[in-house]
Amino acid sequence: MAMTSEERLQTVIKCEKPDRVPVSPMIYYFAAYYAGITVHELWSDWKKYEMAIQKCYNELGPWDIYYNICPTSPETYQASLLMKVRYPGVDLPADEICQFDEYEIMTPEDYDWILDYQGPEFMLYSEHVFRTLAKFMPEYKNMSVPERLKFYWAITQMYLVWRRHFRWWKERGVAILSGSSSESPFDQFSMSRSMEPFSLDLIDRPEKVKAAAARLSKSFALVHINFCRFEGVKRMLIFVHRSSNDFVSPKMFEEISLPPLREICELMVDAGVTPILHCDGNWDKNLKLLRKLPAKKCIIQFDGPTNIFRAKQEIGDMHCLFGDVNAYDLVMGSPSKIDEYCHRLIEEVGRGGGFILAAGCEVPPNAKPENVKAMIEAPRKHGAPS
Amino acid sequence: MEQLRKFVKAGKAKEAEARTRELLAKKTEAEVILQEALIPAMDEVGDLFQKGEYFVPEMLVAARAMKQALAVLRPVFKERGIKPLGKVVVGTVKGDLHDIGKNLVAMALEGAGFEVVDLGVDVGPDKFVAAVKDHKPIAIGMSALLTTTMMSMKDTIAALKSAGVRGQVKVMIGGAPIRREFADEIGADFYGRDSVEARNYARLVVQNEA
Repeated sequence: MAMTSEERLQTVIKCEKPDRVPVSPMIYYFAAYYAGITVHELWSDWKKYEMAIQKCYNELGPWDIYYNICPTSPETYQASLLMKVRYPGVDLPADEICQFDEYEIMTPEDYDWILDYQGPEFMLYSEHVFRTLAKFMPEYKNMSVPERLKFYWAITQMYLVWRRHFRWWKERGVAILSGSSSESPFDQFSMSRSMEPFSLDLIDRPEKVKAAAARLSKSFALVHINFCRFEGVKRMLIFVHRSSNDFVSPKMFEEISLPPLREICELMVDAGVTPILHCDGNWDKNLKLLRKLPAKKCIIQFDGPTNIFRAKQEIGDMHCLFGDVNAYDLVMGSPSKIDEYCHRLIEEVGRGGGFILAAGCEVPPNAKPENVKAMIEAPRKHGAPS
Repeated sequence: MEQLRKFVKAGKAKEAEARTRELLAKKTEAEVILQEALIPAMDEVGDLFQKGEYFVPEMLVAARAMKQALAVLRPVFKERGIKPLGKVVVGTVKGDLHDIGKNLVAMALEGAGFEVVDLGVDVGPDKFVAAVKDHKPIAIGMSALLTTTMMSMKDTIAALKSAGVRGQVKVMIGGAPIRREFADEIGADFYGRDSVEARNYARLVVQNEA
């Protein structure tokens, strides 16, 4: 008897063999292009987002796992990145995708603020978020209690909207990928300090960076565990792309980024939440270090630069792998090329279980629909690995 | 000189600056300090980066040390009319605000003795054309991080052709979604996987070997 999508997902998280490889395309901007609406409409009009993503599912799907990622709430998007986001239709032309102003928002003194914080520990992460947001969004400065409550309500409303939205997917037997998402504290520092100053921090003040990221771990985990519980989806998407070897050495990853990340993952796993690490960029030299994360409890997403076949050999016995049809081929390639690569992924990375087929990171907005369809159809077409 | 190379390679900015001043005080030629210490140090840093032994933070501290040492030499170069190796215009293409890759390329080129004209981000074809006319660079470097914006590279090459300046300048491109076949398809001269490849290509251009 065929597994349900949720059973398939739970099976691969445990690195076991499902009846076939599940597929989970990361679609948001593509939905706007495919459905013929602007990106501005996608993120600002919930009904249009639903129409667009459902059109993708009905015409290019079905798929197993709904990758719920659309940045439909400016508050939560900026709160998770701690960067100024430029929105289409507001700061950018209506049909462009969101982009980020990367400049020095956090200063070295902000590490000290985190370390010297004396308030209730569970509030630390939220206070850090408000304090950082206030640096580029004046409305967050010295917020009164009613204003804070209004902000929390905006976040809560967004999560309520997502919960209602999930029903459509569950009625179709589609599993939901995550109940919450955010950059990890170390990676947030990189974004908020901006790349060059943060890279110099890793040389000039590594102990401070490590201590500050570690100090945020517990309250970060607590916030997102609660969001996941509220959403009824006990999996959390943690973005860690600034911990890739494109930005840091394996030594820096091991000594500075990994310890707080490991603590966050362990806290999540203890609370019954699956960490999903979104590992953009090249992680080849970090792969073995990922063995320090809880075994058979995590999903590791790769987007193309990492050799996912090597990852299968080095960590495939411990972690569920996710990926990695690359953006270039989805745009410039052909359905047969996509199918060929997906088949290889299914056979080699899917062997023995522990694999979810997906695009490496998001399906590009200008991907050819026939290529996206070829990717989504591949697991059903090819079946379980031979 | 060896000591200065080591300081730059290790990212010891204060020590590099002090050593540069000492060498100048001992009547070592500024050009010699640049060619025999600073640039070779950065070359070595670039090689270590390509080998995967140095990463972005190590490169940036070395570049910081080089910059501080170079700041000591610049007035001397200006006084003597010594020119950089060549000029390169860099920019992230229209509609794209990502600048990390572009900044790393600029840093690698400056470390090799090039003068870099950085047009910033969201640079349309017209701005690249204007920069080629104004600055007469040996090459332009275009960066893109999105599959939607990389198409602007093709538009820029077309604009260079329309303006009659395509033949005056080499075009190098790079960025996460870029491939060599894309460079060939749009008529770019070079695709670089990283900042060191861009630097090496610029050197070939100056030596008329590109």
